[in-house]
Amino acid sequence: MSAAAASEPLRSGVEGGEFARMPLGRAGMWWFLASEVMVFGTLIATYSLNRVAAGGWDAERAHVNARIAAFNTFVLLTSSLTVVLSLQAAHEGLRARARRFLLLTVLLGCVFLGMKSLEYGTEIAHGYTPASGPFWSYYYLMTGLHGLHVLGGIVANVLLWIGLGRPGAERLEPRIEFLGLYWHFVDVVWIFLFPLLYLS
Amino acid sequence: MQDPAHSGPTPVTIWVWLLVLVVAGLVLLFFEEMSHTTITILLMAIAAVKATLVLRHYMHLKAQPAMLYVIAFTPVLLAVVMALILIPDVAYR
Amino acid sequence: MSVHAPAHAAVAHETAHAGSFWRSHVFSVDHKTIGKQYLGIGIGMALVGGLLAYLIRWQLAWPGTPVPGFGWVPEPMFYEGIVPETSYNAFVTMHGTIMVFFVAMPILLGAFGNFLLPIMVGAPDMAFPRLNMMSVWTLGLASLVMLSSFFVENGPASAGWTGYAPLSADATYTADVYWGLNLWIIALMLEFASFLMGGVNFLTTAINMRAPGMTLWRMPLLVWMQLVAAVLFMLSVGPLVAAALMLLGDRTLGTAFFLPERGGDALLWQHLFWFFGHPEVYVILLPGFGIVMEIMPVFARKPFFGYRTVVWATIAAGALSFVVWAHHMFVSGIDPRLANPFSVTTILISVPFSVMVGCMLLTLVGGSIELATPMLFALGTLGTFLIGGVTGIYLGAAALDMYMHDTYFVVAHFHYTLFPSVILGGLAGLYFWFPKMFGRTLNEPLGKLHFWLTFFSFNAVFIPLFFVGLAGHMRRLYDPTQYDLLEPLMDTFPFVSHAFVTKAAIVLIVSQVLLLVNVVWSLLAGEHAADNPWKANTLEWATSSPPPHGNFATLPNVYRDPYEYTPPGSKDDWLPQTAPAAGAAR
Repeated sequence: MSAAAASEPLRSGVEGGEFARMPLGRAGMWWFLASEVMVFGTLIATYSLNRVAAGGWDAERAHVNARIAAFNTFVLLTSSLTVVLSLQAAHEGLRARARRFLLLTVLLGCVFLGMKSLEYGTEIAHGYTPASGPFWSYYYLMTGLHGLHVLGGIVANVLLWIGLGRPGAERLEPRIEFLGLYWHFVDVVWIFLFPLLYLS
Repeated sequence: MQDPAHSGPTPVTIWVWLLVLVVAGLVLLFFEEMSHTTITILLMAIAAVKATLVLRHYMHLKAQPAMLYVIAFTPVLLAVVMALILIPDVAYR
Repeated sequence: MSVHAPAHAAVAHETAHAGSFWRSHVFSVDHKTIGKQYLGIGIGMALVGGLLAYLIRWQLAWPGTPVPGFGWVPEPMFYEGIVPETSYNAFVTMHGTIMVFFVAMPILLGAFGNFLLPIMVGAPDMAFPRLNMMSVWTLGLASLVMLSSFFVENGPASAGWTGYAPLSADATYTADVYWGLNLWIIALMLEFASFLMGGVNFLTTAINMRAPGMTLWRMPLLVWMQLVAAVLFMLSVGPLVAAALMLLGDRTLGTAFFLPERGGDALLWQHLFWFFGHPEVYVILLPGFGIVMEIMPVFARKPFFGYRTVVWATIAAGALSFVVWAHHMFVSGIDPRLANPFSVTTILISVPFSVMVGCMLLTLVGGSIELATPMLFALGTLGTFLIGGVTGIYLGAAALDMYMHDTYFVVAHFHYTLFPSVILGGLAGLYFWFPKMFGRTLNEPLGKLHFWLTFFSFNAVFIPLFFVGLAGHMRRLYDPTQYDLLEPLMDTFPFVSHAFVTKAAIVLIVSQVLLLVNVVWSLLAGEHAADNPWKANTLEWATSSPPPHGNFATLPNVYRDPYEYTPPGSKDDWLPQTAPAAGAAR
């Protein structure tokens, strides 16, 4: 299966106005993100409703580590910045610079996951596991699923970074934008998870 | 394709605003006399502003055709509808 | 964009020959091959689902007797051919799961959607061919995981295809079925991933890759149906993905989502499941309707009545489908104040569907009808679906549903909606597009015989079940004779009896052999098909049978609407979409 077939943008005509002129990957990624909003939206909704029903879960929530989470928030927001800077560099034809920012994004993502494991480790050591009750069930599922999405993004970005360093990289450059969209989405999910689980 | 640096704030500017908003959210917690509900609402509002910044300026939503807004926001609306309908059953068990 | 050996002439033989084309046909990124792979998975799983139906029906008609042909299956699944309660629950569960997720969706969306959508909009392939290949492989993996669950300790999932908590949330509630249900959840999540990938492809392709002149209002109705179905799936599956993860957590990690004894909420599972489950049935129905909508104008030689009306009705139905879900939960213990609003929305949603059915009927009025096999199946779909739709209205009224919920009335209702769309509609599509897909012609008399046998035996199976349900027969009941109330339903009345229904079911299952014979014979020795044997207008008929890689020798230009049959002032009774417009376009 040749690589050329897959990344050659398929086009067939002008019907569709702006949509026909949009890179296919952008449209496809937005559809995918729409479905992902439903997954996290459901978890956020059910968590919030259950929390109201349970009276706030204040005792349980006192044991989450808001400091690590705040640090992670900074990390993730910065990684969104580096993705945008990578895209900007790609537009300006500065591929090496684009790759560097991509790598930075990956590293920041790894820092996020590293801090997250630290956080989980501490909590589990104190006896707070997914089996510790409804709050912890939601906490671990929401942050865990989010973490899996971060991991997926890291893997995809690593593969892109590798591909951009090889011959034929021009065809892969548009993917910086598409993976960027995914990465920003993961950031936006965290923007909501952080206050919901750690702050309010 | 559009260059985000051309029109509007630079990515770094947006990043600074995002960090400011994160700090603002953390600062809110020091206002202990505020009720739980008020803090939650304010935090969600701040989160919404942050999300809007990322969506508009990092994901370039403002440069896209209107239909893309529909694709992006319909699931949000749907999730809200789901949450509202579930209130009688889940929030008041 | 072709990535495999270009041997177009041999494509017609691909399903019959293994050998030198095996690699290019197994690892193909061509949407047409992928569509056929979906069809293969769907038909294969249909055999499994049908087999399970046979086991269920046998047990219901002659409980505790050995099922013919199953004496060899070891314990504890069978006891010398006799079905124990645990296995019965498993068969009922797996029949539903397999039919909905591994037959209906692969055939209607995976096979027909994949094969037809790009061609019908004038595109050379799907937007993301490699993603497309990954989607069918993911479904293949999902099918294997689902089938493997039959062989694990304590058997496959047995909590119903709806998997209600708390029954499904703790292995001790389902006779210690542990891995069976875990694998069920995993297989379903893989299936969701597969169709999410497909959905992204369908939507991007149809919206972004249409040929010049193919405006949205010139797309064939099948494309519209597939698109709305894709949107419904993409938006509704998220909550079930979340719920499935929650269920897996409850089962394996001790989480407290659905188990009341741990502080969880059992009803939440039902809400999340049906939030997806209701749009899902329209995800299945719409492509089935789409197939019928393509066939009817061709065999009535008349334009489709109310094209735009049907499109708007479909969109309205799709939107409404997200706020009707609790009609599956009227007796579950939901807040009673939810019953009335959901009854209202459920009755409301029958309006756009009535519009669609009405337009289909009006398409026939005044047409010159040719009762070829595809048309017979299309008409059969419409007629039987009407019964399903109407009985749904009864169930949608909460007061009535209180008595009919979880009885065989419901079973008959949903088989009268699912079977028409999936089987009759799918068969209509297969007979109609077989020449295009495989370059061979199916035997027409054999097809007609297949139709009549299928149609009559299907009705013979499910009409009595309405009455069985009204007589008080509950669903998922292993042995009706344990209740004196149900004893007369075994073999007393002429048609309303389990014995009669099971015999009809066996006829239904065996009749499908006619299809297999027809397909195999045609593939091996059938007449080669012309490009446009049905004299139809849509773009797939403007290219060869089967189409080449890239679908068209040159990019088509589209000048017309899709259903210009018997246009006034024309000597032909059809005008393909690619025929240049001599006068004003509509």
